[in-house]
Amino acid sequence: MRKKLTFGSVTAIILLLILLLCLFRYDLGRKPGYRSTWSHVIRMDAGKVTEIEHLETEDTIPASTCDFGIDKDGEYRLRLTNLLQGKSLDELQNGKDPIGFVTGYVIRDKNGTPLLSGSGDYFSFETTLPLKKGLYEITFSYFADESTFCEFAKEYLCGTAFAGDFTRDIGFTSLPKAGAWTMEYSLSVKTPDPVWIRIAILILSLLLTISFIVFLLSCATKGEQFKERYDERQELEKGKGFRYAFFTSLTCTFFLLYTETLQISLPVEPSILYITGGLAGITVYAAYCIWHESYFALNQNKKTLMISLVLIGLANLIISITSILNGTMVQGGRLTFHSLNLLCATMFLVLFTVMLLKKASLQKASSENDDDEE
Amino acid sequence: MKNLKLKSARAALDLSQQDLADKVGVSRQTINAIEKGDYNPTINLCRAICKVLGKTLDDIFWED
Repeated sequence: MRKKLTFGSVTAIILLLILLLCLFRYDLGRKPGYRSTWSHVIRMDAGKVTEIEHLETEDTIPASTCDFGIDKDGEYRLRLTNLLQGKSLDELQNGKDPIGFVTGYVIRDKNGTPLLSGSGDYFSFETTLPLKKGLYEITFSYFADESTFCEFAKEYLCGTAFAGDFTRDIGFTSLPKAGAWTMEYSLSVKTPDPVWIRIAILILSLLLTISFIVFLLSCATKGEQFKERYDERQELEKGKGFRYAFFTSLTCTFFLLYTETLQISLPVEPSILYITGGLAGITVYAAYCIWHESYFALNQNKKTLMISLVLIGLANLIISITSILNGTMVQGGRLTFHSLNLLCATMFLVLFTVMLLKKASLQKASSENDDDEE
Repeated sequence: MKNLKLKSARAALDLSQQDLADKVGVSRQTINAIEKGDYNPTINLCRAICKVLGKTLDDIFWED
């Protein structure tokens, strides 16, 4: 008899297609693109900035350059960071001590035409640029006084009309006058995904969203015989599970408040910490219920649900692996929001392990019962 | 405390825990927990079990 395509199988097919696309994107063997990291030691002395490494000019404005090449015309994703050694962007932005100088950067093509420029004592940004085949150059300049920075701002940042205000906002007079700082730079230039992959992922994501909405509507409207049924013992155990999950989430929240109050800097983006508490609660609830056989309803197909959990866990694992390969998982020495997929994958792995352990425990108990009866 | 009366009443009808659970409308683990003494069922569940096994409440759930 020909089997009908069920809602679950359609969702599973869509998930599998997304998985395959994610694998194809990172096309095992595909080059990650140009990437470079370097550092400068910047010394300030008597109110002037002198760069120690990569000193290429004797101008009053110390500068250094970094070159990169493009193999073919296209749109490229450019990521540039300039951070104080050992510090993350969040730490620097929340800190109270400014460094002693301001960095200005200009990206030029081989004809010397500026394509992109900016400034800051430290920065981390990503942007998409149309680039043609050829060589490009990033020049970094260092400023410790208003007049030279104002000239730079006029030419590259905001034009003559606003350069004065822009310079005053920097607050040069508040900068310390002497010291040495090690700045760490990183530059990566990557080709964005081909258009067809982006469109395919967009369409599949829309289909997945629609199927999720259909699923929610069907849950809300399904008849009594199709609703999940739990027996009284299972309801009791679920209640206990909810309680343990609540206190787990509460503990994580208090831990977060504690670290924030004491200004303890963790190598994780704050948004991840908040979500981790929720995920920990969900994991505790699900693991407890699975162990006490109150997770699956009486009229629920265990196999279908387990397969769905495995697929979702695998999808998250693959996405997190691609984030690691892409270099977006850890930035500035901190776990970014992209690590959420890794957390989800870990959660599903824990739950799957609990399921397997429970199954083994039941099989052992069943064989012991058989021995008793004999 | 283990409920051996339930176990023997079930065995007398040649029912497995899963069979009894399906007839009563609960999970196998619930029947297992009742037999092991890990769970005290409500009166409604006790009555449902007795009805399936053809016994009275005293026969299965009263302590000697």
